[in-house]
Amino acid sequence: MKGQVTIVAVVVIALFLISLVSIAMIHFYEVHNIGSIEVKTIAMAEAIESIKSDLKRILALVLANASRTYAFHPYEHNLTKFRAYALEYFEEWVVLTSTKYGAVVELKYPEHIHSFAGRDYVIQENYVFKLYWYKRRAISVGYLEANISIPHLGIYNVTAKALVSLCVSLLKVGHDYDKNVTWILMNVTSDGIPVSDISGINITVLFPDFDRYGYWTEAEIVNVTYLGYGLWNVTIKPYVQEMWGIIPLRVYITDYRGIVTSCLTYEGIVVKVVKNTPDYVVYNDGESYRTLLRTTTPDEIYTVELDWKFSLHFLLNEVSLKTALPPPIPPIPVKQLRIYSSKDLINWQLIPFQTELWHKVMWHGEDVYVPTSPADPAYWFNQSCRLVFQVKYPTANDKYVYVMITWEDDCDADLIVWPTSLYFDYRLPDYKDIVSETFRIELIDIEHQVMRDYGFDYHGVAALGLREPETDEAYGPANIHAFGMSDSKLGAWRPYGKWEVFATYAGKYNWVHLPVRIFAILNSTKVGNVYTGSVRDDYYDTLAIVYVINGTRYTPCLVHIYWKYTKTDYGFWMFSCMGGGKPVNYMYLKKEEYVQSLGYIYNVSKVYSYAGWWSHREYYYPNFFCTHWGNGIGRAVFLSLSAVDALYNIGTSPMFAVTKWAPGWIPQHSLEYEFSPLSYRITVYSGTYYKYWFVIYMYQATDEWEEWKKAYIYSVMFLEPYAPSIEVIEVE
Amino acid sequence: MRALELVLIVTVLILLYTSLSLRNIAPKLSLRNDYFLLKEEAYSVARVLADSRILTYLMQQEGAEDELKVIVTALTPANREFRVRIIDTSTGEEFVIETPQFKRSTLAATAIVVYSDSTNNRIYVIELSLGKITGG
Repeated sequence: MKGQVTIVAVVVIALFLISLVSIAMIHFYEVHNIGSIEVKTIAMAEAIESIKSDLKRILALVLANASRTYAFHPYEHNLTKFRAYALEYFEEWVVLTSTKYGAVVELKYPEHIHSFAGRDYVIQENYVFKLYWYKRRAISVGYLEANISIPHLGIYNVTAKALVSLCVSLLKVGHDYDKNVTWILMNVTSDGIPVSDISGINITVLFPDFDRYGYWTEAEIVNVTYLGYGLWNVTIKPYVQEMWGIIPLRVYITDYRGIVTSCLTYEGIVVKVVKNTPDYVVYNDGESYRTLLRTTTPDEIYTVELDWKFSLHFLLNEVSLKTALPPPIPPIPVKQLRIYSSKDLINWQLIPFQTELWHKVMWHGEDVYVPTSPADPAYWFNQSCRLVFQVKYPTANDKYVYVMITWEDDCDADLIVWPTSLYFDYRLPDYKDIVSETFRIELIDIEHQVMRDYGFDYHGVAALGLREPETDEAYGPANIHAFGMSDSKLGAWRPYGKWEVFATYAGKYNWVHLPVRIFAILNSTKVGNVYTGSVRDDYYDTLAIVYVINGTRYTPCLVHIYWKYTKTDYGFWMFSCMGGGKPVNYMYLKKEEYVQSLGYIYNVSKVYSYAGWWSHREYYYPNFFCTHWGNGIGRAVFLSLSAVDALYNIGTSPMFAVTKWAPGWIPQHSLEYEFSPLSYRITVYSGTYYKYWFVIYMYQATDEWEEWKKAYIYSVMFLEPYAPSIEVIEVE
Repeated sequence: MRALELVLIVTVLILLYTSLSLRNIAPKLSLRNDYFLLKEEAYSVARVLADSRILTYLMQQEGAEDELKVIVTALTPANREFRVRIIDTSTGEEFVIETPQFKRSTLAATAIVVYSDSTNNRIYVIELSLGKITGG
């Protein structure tokens, strides 16, 4: 019995054990084979992967925003601002990720180097993204890393890296005249992988409008063919002709994420600025013609303006391009433009330049170009822009200077802040001075009426107070125009108004000083009586522009005068410039003279001394040059030929004149150009218009009799026939 | 012998208890697995919605809800109920679609995916819940 019980017990135990094993196996199968840990791991992986995917998408979002705006907005070209926006987006995204995934995400922006077409493009630490555009290769690239932890899923410190890029390289451009097409062979990669499906990519191609130079027209995309390995052949209509060996095209590529990149088929334009002054100047000393060699001319520095049509402007000269037009300067942000100069096309030197906005205005029926302000460097280069730079010809052998206009491909490239001697000392009521190393010009006008240390109230008349820049010593004012009498005092009615000064760039760059020149504009419809202070608007209108230029010894003033009413009176000046009693001698170039033994002689040098007791002297037949010097200083006045013509055409027997004393026995020692002698009554008729420039040149001089020659060698620089000219050399 | 009988009885009781316990635990573990499987499925569908960038086009259209419903129906496995909530984080606007039987689900899992739309400059949150109706 006992044995039977034991057997039964063993059988029962065995059955239970078998049952237990089977249950344990089921449990094991459910828990460990397809059990929750495996499933949970998949869920964890999904969470991480979705964060990684979206990290790339959020990077694409900020890159798309920045590149789209940079490409198509006319002035929003500050990538630092977009990076600030990007950080805001990232912050929002991190908060969202934390709340939605329960993740702790820490973003990092390390340096990353992206290679494309054999070149390394750097994204600096904390830059997040970079745009390298406007060359034959262009890339938009972004990179960031994220450290992800999801504690509730047991995930800690997973590093996710996100790279987003769109790279385009223009390999070849060709055209077929018969088929009226142009084609572009290009390589496109996205995130480092060749783009094989271009259906999601938007291509825009622009070509120069040959009927309206400087404008661009969108081409019609005729065909797009994929050739493999990211190579695409894009055919456009029409046939775009070559300009200087280049088919000029602008290409914009936008991918399916909205990321934009922009290429150009040319990367720079080289021009030659040719000096046209002679190697010598001639004068007649009353006995015979003498020649002055212009062997060394360190002050022969032209401050020129290059407009969008490649016309070169110097003062009021406009010299058109001598050769065929190159492709236009592309509409890219001005801050990315660069100018290099070279004597030999091999050694190039980056030179300062500034961009100014000029507009053509109808001024009393005349087309007049006036600078309206410095350009905003964040704006695209456009038809209103002029590039202002200097070309130097220090010796007679320097006949030309090569100038290359190019641009940086790094869209973070900013305006170069060049060292300059120029500044605007604007501290009313006493100071409204434009200062360079050579000049301190105190602008006298309605908001600054009395020149310091001169003691003569101009009552709002606009003039240029000349001062010694180092010592601030006052030489006295330079008057730009004067007419008529007031209680027996001459030159009463002079331009009245306010000098508008432009010393810094416009827009958000207004903290950057203009590196090449400061300019001041007087646009006045009134004249003021310098003696009584009365103001009238029934004489003439004045438009005057003064430049104070860095690194030169001259300052030009361009003047337009239009007479609204006919006036008859005494005392009619084109220009007068005080010397503060300092100069000892003076000289003027006499246009012609009759000498018994020689007949008519021209360009006669007439040299005099200020010594003696006299007040005012007048001399016949003035020409384009006069100067005075002594006591260490020399000052010359160069007139344009248009000024000389105006003197002779508007005036009656024009005069060069000097005045020894100003009213109140203030030493003056002036240089003056009169339309007629003071004793003549002259009539100027309504509708009379003339424009001219005068240039004040400062030089070092002793009291020696021949010192005027130091200035005379530069006189030809400012004459219209000798203005520098321009030719295109090549397009890169 | 008594001692042997006692040991046998104790063993029987322990085995009985263990087997009864496992009978209770196993379904719970199975349910938990179902939940994670559902969650994985939900993630897959949500990620397809995000990675396919279909929302870029869908959310700009009129009647986006209907098209979204068709797409999600096509993407989810058979016998699944779903509810999709898309939140535009910049405007706070919400789009919600769900199957009629979703509320009867006895088991549901939700996947949340963030979708940054670079073309339209939007960040969307996709909350996709999958449900299963089990039992009677």
